[in-house]
Amino acid sequence: MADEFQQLACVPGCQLDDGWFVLDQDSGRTVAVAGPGDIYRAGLVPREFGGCGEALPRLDPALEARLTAGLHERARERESLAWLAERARGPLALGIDDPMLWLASRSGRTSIARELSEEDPLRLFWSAGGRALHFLKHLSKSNIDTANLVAVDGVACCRTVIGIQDPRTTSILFDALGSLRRKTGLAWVAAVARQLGYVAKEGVKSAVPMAADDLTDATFDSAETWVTDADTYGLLGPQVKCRTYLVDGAETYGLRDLVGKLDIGADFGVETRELSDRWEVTATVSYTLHVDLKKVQLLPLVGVARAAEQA
Amino acid sequence: MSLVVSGPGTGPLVRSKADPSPNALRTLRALLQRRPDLRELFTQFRTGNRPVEWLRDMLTARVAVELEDLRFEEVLEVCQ
Repeated sequence: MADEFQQLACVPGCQLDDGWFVLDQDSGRTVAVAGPGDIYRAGLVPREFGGCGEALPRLDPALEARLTAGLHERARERESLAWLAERARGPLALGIDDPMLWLASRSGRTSIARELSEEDPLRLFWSAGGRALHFLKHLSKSNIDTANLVAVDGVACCRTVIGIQDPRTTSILFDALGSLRRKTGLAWVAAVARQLGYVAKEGVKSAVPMAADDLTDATFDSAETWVTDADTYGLLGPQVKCRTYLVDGAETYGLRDLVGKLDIGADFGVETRELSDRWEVTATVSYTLHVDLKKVQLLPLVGVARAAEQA
Repeated sequence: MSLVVSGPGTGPLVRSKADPSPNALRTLRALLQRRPDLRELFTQFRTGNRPVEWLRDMLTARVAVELEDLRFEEVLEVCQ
């Protein structure tokens, strides 16, 4: 009660400073603080037996609807969590606040986002697996001389949307936090790879355009790792594909040796919001890419769409 | 590192270490409605710029007798 008064600056349960507490009958806790702007006065309304009367003030219908929907949502959530915990009781014996059930509740989903926000962004980057690793091995984590390198600032963003239509269909074995971690790292690396392609396109003017029909595996021998988009990827042979990092919308370019350094900004942030049946998590971080364009081999291709169609 | 939570009905309004039972909370609110001397404590708390522990202790001392069904720790928690 004392904490409530200190934080909300009203006498609990009483009108003071033109504000009212709206209490939850079940929990006894405050679910909203209504001010004068949240009160709806209908004015004069007709009486059943004729004439008019002043209607009693009531909560603004929009606020009332939100509170009602919120209460309904919480009750539904409690029921679903208990059902899920009961279903898993045999092998796992879960409590309703078990992290395995986080995805099924609003507070749990916030906990997942909080855990993600407490991650080290550098670790998220470098923990990206798969072909992203082929790309990352060309960038240094440690301090190298960046005096002669081109510096590019950018923002890497990963937006994940997860459907939360029916909590009872939540798979308790799905590791939502682990999935977000991996997806965030991969999306960030893809953003950096795409950015590097743009920089190379602007900076490397000596690259000679090549017809996509003329591509052979030997074309790709000059670099260790290649980055390309989906259309070009389909034209590659299996030996080249296994060292090619596929990034949607990226220019086609190759990398050899260490091409530069990646610095991660300190402004890593996570934003989470829920709209109807969608849960959105957006993880953003700024970065600076120091790159030696001499080690980036741009391959400007023409006729990719036609070649992809014929392939 | 930052976390932004947005959307309808996000998070509790009041953050507290205490987790009182709904019944105790409802009983204390009913007491506050009935007793002006308790409400006066809140005014003193604000005008005197006192620490939140002061309000908790003063409330506890005054309502503990009336909340005889609760253990003292529970009364302390609901007043917190």
